[in-house]
Amino acid sequence: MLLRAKACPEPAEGDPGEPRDVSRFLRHYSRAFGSLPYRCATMKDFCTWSAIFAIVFASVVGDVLLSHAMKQVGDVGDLRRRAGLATVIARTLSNSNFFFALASMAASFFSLLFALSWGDVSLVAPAAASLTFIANAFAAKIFLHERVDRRRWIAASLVAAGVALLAG
Amino acid sequence: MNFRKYLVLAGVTMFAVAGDSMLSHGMKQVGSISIHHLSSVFSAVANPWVTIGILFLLGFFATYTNALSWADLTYVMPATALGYVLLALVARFVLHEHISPMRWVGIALITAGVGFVAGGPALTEHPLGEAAKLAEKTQAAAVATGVES
Repeated sequence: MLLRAKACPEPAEGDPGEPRDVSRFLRHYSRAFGSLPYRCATMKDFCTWSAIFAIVFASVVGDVLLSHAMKQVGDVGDLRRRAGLATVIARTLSNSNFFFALASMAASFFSLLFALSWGDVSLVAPAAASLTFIANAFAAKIFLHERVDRRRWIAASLVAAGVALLAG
Repeated sequence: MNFRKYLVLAGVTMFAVAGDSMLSHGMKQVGSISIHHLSSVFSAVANPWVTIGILFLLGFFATYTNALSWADLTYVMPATALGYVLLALVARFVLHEHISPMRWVGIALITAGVGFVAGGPALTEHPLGEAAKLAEKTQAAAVATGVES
């Protein structure tokens, strides 16, 4: 899921405002975690960045596992032509990495909720999205042995910078 | 890369943008959800916009897994980042929101990044993978000619 990298003004306390996008909805929702922001007040930045790194970590683990799982399944289009859609679904759902990937993506989503309860959406969403692009390139090179050549490094950096600017 | 694969990449982008937009529109109608009234999450799902948003996000996940089955992660991620640009353009030309020069620079950078990655190969060919494919082909040929392998 794309993180919405969009700034939004702080709504008044008790006023849910009008959630214009998913991030703002998440921010309101995450406030439900109640006392956490107050406990964390003195170390707010530390907590925010820890949560951002948790989002990036969980999301990269999820993406890498999903990519690995789908490479094990094989080209879905070819497989469907050869053996039918039922085989594609059965082979995907019988892959354990696929479920670890789903769990990791869920962890990333809940980390996002926590991060938004501590930090501003204008920091959390673009920082997490940008860092995920860069961290994914490293993780894909190391764990998936993808050939991340200069072209791909430049692409990942440009997109990461672009996403960061889009929130400004 | 063939037309079907470009279509899948376009699907990843479009489903993500449409799903997120519909979900946000629906949640705007539902209002905020408190942890003390978690049951209201279920009434949120009853909102047609939220339901359609969830269906679109399922479509996003299906196309995303499809794309990852034949392309590298470092190819799919930047190639589908056009969704950010699409959202900004919708905000500018449909919702008539103001887009600052910094955002236009951001849009240009993402577009350039997508152009960079799209010009390269989609999948890393691993030597081991090629060897396995060759073995598979040899075996298939052997079976076809009736030779025991």
